[in-house]
Amino acid sequence: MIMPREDGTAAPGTGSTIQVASGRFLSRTVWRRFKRSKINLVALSFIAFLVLTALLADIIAYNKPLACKREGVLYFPVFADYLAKAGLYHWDMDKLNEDWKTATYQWVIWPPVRYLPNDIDYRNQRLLSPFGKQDVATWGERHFLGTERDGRDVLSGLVHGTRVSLTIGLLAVGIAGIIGIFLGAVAGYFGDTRIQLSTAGICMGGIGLVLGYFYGFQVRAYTLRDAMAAGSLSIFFHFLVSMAIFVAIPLLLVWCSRVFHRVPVLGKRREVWLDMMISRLIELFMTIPTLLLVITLMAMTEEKSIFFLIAIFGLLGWPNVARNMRTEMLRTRSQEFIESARALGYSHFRIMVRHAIPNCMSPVMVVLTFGVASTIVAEAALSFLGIGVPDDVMTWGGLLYSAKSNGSAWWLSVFPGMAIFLTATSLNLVGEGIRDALDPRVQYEK
Amino acid sequence: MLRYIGRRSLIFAPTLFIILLVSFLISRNVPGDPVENSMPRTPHLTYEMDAAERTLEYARISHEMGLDLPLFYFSLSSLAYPDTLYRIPVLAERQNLHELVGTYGNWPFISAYFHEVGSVLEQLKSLEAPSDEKSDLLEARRALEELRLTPKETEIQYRLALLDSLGERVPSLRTHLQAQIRQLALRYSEMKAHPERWRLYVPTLRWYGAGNQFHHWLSDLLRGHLGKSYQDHLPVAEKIKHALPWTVFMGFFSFMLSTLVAILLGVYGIRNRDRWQDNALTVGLFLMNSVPTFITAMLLMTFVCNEDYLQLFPTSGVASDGAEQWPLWYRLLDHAHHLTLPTLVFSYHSVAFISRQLRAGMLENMNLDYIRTARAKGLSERTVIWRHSLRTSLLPLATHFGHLIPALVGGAVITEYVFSVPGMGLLTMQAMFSFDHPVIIAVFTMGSLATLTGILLSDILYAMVDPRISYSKK
Repeated sequence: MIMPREDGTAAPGTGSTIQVASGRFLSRTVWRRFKRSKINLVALSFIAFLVLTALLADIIAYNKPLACKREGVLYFPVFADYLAKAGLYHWDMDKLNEDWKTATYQWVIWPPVRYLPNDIDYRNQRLLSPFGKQDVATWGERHFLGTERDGRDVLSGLVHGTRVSLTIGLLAVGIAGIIGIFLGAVAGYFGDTRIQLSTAGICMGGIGLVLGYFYGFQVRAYTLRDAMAAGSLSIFFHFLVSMAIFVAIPLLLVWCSRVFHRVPVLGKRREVWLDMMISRLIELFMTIPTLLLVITLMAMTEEKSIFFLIAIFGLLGWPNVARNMRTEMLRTRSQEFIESARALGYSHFRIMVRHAIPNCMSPVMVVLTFGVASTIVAEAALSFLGIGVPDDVMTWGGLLYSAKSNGSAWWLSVFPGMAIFLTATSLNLVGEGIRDALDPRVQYEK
Repeated sequence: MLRYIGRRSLIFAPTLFIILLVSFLISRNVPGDPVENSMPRTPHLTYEMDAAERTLEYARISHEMGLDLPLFYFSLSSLAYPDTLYRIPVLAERQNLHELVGTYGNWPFISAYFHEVGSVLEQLKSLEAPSDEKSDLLEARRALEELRLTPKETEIQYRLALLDSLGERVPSLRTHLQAQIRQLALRYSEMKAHPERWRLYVPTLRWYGAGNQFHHWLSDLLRGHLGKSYQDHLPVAEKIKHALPWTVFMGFFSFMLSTLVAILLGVYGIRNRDRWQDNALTVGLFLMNSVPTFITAMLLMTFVCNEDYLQLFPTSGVASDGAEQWPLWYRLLDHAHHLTLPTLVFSYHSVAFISRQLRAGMLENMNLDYIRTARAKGLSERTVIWRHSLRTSLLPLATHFGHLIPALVGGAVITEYVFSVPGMGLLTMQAMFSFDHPVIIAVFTMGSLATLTGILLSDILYAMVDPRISYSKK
């Protein structure tokens, strides 16, 4: 999706897929074929491992104990921090600011890694190798994968970086998926002929788009800008409002154009070339050199933010999804069950959402899986170039970035490199596994 | 054929236009004031004598860059905005006025208020005052200058109150300017008292004709004027002229290399299909395809260009120190030594991609009738593969080359950045870190155009070699 190699590899095989009899997403047949290959299962378990790491990042690497007893009082500092963040718990001032590593305990259970990614260990600065001598009090305080120049722990960075990578990958592909599935389905289902409007309706729809843009985005420009400053939740809300206005006005105007139905010229019905328009749009987005555009946009924003990164990847990643969805939909829409649904008098919209789209989902899942892989790689590439995420967020690409200026520290390039490589590879393997499982031509040897 | 090419190009025309439009819009929305950034830095001049000159210089540069024109051929805005707002020369003041209109919608009042700020400021500048009041006058002046730039209600009121108290307290202000300051406050309260927000909801379409920024930008682009770098005030075209050869050279060389290697690997795989060699090759190519460029680049940097492990290749640049004096062939060898790793890193992705595609294509071919016929004629396996199977499988690759270009552009950025090759990619990154927006936008525009041309060419190429494609009938 972002990187090009998926362009070619995702396209073949989607043409003739196994009919997914039970309807939704991945059927039992596909799963049975998928798990016949051991390597697929290995890749899938690695992804599960990554998801677990991302979820439990704070339990694996944290600078406070999981549980401990001090002066007769039982503490669960990691969980207390969670509660404190939610406003349900308040640390005493002395406990909040103290260094838990030097405290004395009656008994204590530490997380496997005793550092947060941004903790600076002043005694172990200047790139300590994982196997070299480290100035630590106990074995448990070692930096298992070494430190970078300022004394930050590499392993902790990797663990917490998993969370950032997966979040960006999943959310961006989520956005791309929603846009792509919707546009692709509309293009494929309605084609160039199925939607017909009167001349007046087409004209008013065109005017409606302009007006929708005016009232949705131009009139609300300052509202949107202020919302941007206020935080991600409010920009999300206001953006939705703007989008709703943008969509509602053309629809309303088209609906109003009914009054012209009886008028001779204006009432003449014409086909709306939805498929043509959406296909051109897909083509347009596919010609944009994504990385260059992202770099350009990043250069234009004054503040780095993960939210912005997700939005960019989401808004640029949809064409590949849409293309595949459209191909699938073109195949599905002429099948009997769609015809019978029409005969039962269901509306186009209902048929599309309830029957057609679920049946097209399996091949699209493959594209989405590849999309997550390429988004994670692209995010790492950006962080590696030093322009992706904010500086205080530790990511895999960010660790590699610090390797560029510290040539001899092999642990700074090898471990994050492995993490990115393994993640991308397992996602690609799972994607190819699903695709092969969907493709009846692929034979599995016993 | 010509008709097909014509049609295909026609379909690309809107895409081209939109890409140009996107570049243009990005270039007009850069953070900061482009005029400020293009102005020569003059830190030594004093505040006083600088001001008038700066204003003139600002207007001159703004005019030179065409920034005092409307943005596009037409504009869609609301009735509240006057159609000549773009003529306000200073960007920050223009933005301030724009937001004031966006808040109150009553342009005549806003204009009166804004003019009042200007006239009070002018009178204040020409005011002769005893030396012990200088600092107060300066404070008043600052407040007025900030009033020209801030649309926020609280900030305006704070500054007006400050001016009011200064007007009460400082004798020279009290005698000469107090009336005007009162007048200014009155204008402001009038502006707030008579808002006409309904005007903001009436869409208005205005036509400006060819005298607009986009028109000028486009004709400049066609003539090769890409603006001037903020960094050293050199023309961007000049910088690109120095950087482009390296990228093109590397791209061309790695293209040849990767195609050659990919074909060899693909054929090798097919000749040994269903043996362990092919399986190993498949796995190897899959892994190769999965390793992102920057990881390979970093690993090579760490292990092969490092005095701690192996120093086989130089770390950065394209030539050794003092290489200018060396004889020609030695210099070429030096360049080759420096460029080996970047070219390898740049190519291996395409190798994996192309040979995977090739292998898949040939695998499907091998069971087709024409191959069986060729075999039945008694042709050797070698001839069948090279002359019959490979040829057909190369066809679909033609389209893929076009779609590889966006990735190559991205790959060039990363490779050149890691190995410090002074090509387009490094130029982009350096511009990125020094906020040199004209350079970034020029590179983006050129990269998009290259991509578009590449895809167009590969489509035409595909149609030329494959007679089944026709665009005349659906």
